[in-house]
Amino acid sequence: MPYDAARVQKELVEIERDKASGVGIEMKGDNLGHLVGVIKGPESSPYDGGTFKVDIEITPSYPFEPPKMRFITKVWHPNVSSQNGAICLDILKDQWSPALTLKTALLSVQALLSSPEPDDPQDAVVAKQYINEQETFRSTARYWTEAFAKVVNDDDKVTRLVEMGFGEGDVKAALAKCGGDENAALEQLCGGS
Amino acid sequence: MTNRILCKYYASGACRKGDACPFSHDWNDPMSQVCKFYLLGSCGYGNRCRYNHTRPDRATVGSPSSPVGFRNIPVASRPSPQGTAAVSPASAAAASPPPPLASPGFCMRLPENFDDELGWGEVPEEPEVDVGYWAKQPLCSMAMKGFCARGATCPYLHGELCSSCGKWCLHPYRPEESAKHAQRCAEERAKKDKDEALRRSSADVECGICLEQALPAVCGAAGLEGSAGCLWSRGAGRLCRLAFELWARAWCMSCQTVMGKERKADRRFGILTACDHSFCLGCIRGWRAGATTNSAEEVTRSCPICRTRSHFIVPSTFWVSCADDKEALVQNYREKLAMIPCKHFNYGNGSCPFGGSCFYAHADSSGRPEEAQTLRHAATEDGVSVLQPVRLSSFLDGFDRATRLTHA
Repeated sequence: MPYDAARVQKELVEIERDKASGVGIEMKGDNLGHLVGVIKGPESSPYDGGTFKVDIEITPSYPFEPPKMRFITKVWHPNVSSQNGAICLDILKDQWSPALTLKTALLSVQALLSSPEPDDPQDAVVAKQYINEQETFRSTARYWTEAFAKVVNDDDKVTRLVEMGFGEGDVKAALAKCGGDENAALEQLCGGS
Repeated sequence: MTNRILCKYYASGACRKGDACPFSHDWNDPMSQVCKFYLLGSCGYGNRCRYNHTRPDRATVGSPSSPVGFRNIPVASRPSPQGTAAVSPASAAAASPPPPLASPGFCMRLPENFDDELGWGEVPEEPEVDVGYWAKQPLCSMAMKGFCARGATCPYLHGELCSSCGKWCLHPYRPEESAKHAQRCAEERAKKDKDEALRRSSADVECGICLEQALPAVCGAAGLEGSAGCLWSRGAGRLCRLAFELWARAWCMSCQTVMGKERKADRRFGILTACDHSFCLGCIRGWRAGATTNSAEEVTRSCPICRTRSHFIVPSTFWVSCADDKEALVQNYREKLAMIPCKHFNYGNGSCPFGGSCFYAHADSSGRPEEAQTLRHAATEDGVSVLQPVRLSSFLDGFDRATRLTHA
């Protein structure tokens, strides 16, 4: 057994039970070693209203090692890489404790969204903007949230893509292949045509 | 010698060697109840040994005239070895307080007119009991366990019931020994009961790392007491450990109660000395051993929940919630470790990185303890390093020499 599956399962049950916490976890197939965390953007922050997906990889020695977390959804935040979604958070690195769980880690990431730490940045450009141009930073972050973190119904996506001139069947196939990601589907459709 | 000792397998009807058996297959011969290790000089079990720690008198054991060889009643006419008034086990039973043969460990009932047939009914005064002689006789081991098939004809003394351990092991003619046994038994029983209570109370304590209970949970079906009921309600402490294990497992699997850790060795807590957060031993050891390469030692050495630093952990089969219990546990743990030789120190041939603060015994092969040494920790560029032991006397020597030089 590469990791403590029993513990991961218990954590999943616990998260499932507590839906009010604003974080959740989705399964990617049957594999407990690879999960997707869902974080709601904290209120009174530029990320409010967005739903952010976090790729979670359970390391073999979990819970003695922190899970590897990375934003799938693009986020404009000083402590999150705007390129690959890497998160700079101490408890996901050297301050990890086995008493922490996936839920508490996701809650910590959520708290990080509402209170950025520009002194310990992951993305230098964003951090610089956060320090020097607070207003621009907020508007950019809100724009990224609107653009990438809003949950859009599949029907809306299909309608939009069909309006662009693609066939409905192709659009549906492309969306299914990209897991509902509109931009990726668009790229695929453009690349394929 | 061996051919005059009754084969214990034959006695229980299970000897497969038949005529080739080096031990006697004659009920006339006595069974050996003397601990052979005791005879060789030392028995590791000490007072707990199930065999007798008595040096048998050559004149009595195994000799045809010995009362140990008695098997039939009446034997009243046999002369006792001391030449005093003849006493048979049966008559001693009738006469002496406490009677050796009247204990309820026997199923064999004597006929009501038994004494009359033997002509003992007419004896007006009770025969004198040679207490000194009977005090030397060992107890019957089978009667000790509760039933002796030979009943009244058994050549051995039958003890009285010890209410604490439930064995018929109190020697009727050794009051001091019996009192000591009863006392020790009662103490053991009290300790067992306390442990059991502690175990029960720690059954629902959850490990903060694996999120499981370290101990098997008290079965939820304990309410069925008396019928199929859970083992817990039936006094598990009195049953065979293995049976308990199997029973509890089967039961709890059927009622879907969390059984705690799979391996019995894992069903232990690792008690942190500085805080009161519960972890099972395996988990907390795994964490403190530094499974993560990224985490600094100060992180792994602290409690995963409250991050209070504990210098060591104490393994325990139950959870301690009270401070006094915890202190006693730590003390007990350290005392136990102090009896184990330190593998780094290696009887003086090696050097232990923990020096004087090592929990294990630092003694040479003759058992002489190591002289107290002072270790100096100095902050270097890499962190903390341990220097060679430095003594105050070495400074004094230098100081002495320096002053002498100045005076000269």
